[in-house]
Amino acid sequence: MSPAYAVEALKLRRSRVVLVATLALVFVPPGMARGLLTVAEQGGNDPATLKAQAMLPGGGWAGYLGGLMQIYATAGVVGVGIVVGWCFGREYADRTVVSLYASATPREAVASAKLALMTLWSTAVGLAMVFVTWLFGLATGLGSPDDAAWRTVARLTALAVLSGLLALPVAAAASVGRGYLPAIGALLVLVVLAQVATIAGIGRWWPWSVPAMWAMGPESGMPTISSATLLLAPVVALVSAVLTIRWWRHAEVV
Amino acid sequence: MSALEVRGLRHQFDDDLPVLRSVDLSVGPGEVHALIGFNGAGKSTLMRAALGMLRPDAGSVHLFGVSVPGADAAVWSRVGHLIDTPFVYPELTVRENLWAAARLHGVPAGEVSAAVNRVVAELWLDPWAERRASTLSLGNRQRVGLASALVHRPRLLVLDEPTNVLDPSGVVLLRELLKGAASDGVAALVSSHHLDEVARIADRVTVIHAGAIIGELDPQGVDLERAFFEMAHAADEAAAEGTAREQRS
Repeated sequence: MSPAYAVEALKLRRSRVVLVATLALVFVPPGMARGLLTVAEQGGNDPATLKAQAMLPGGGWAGYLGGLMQIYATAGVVGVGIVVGWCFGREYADRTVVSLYASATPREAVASAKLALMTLWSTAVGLAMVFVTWLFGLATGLGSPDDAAWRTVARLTALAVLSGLLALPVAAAASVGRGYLPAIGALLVLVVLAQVATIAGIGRWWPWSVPAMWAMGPESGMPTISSATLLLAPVVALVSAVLTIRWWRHAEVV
Repeated sequence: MSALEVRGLRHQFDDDLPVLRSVDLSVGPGEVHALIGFNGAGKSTLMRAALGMLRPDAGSVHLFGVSVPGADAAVWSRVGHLIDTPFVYPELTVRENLWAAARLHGVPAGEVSAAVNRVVAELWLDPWAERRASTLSLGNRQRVGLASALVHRPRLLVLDEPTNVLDPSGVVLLRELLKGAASDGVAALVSSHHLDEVARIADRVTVIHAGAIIGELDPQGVDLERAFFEMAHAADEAAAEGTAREQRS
């Protein structure tokens, strides 16, 4: 393993931020979705039950997975974005970036390693979350998923992976803004704009809205979206990665 | 050939006074070259420009004969520095921090462990080697930063006020390390406010004032502090006279 990858991997393994974010992203969304389904299936006219029933596209696996998609569409970008913002912003906030200059390992190699490891980590977290979702469903009496449920699981998997990619632009914000706060600000803007774009009817072209709208599908009241549009997410990740690496190569110490 | 050669370096931050005014400076192998000056004199900016951390408006910097913009991994692997903040990640242990510094500075993977053990011993870091850096005192963090700058056996050391936050034993330790490195042919550029310390370690003492090199002091001379203040005062008076002359003409 190259020095930049080895060092960044060590920092991620030792980080409490990464540990907490991993546990939160893997266990909390499935738990919340299962909780919503339980409330929805209670029956009666309780306001919480009526609200949960309105949110979910149905009962059983369909309701559970539909609720989870709504949760993870935002939680995935926010959770991964916080870790990406920490990974890049901490070097500026703690001033450790100065030590990365005048080194045999170029700074762009360090930035590339961070981006690659963030992509790997967010993908692994997304896949683990889907696996835990399946386990929660089985363990809480939903039975084995039918064919329709498995198709939804496949869409959930795509959403989980693409949500991680869509958080990578936070790296550029943390680097150019030289700290955590610009990263958090950029993350908030991305999440809010995704909601606004969906409501305004332009979500099918807004990269941060497309995966969730595609995954939830027409059965949740979303417009039909071509699978090819999903390519917007990797394009966004690639462009932001190029910008981030260029910044790390050329930025001066201030 | 000089390890570090700075020629005609000029720099000015946006809408501000010049911070470097045509600075010339060199550091040869086996030489400890001290840079002294008041706060804001330009010491740190000069060191940053020398290490490619900022691009000066004019002038050139060569490391081992190679221009800084063209310096490759082989050149940088011969440079160690402690500028601004020590190389310390709080979530890593002392040993892991030094392992990371060694890898990034180009120490081959098979030699990293021995290099880390060596600097842990040299910097007296044994009692803290397995502790997380977040639990260290400021002084010990500085020692880790110094160890990170030395772990790859650089041939040029650039240290910006390295005795800051060190306790007296740390100061003595650094002094001995610098003397030992210089006797092995390592070139060192060290900035400091502690003139008595400078007198003990430096072969040459250069005074920087308001972004310009205004002279050199004899480190073995009598009353270095008085000589420094007189030189800075004379530079201020000369600058004031020059301004007045410009206004009259």
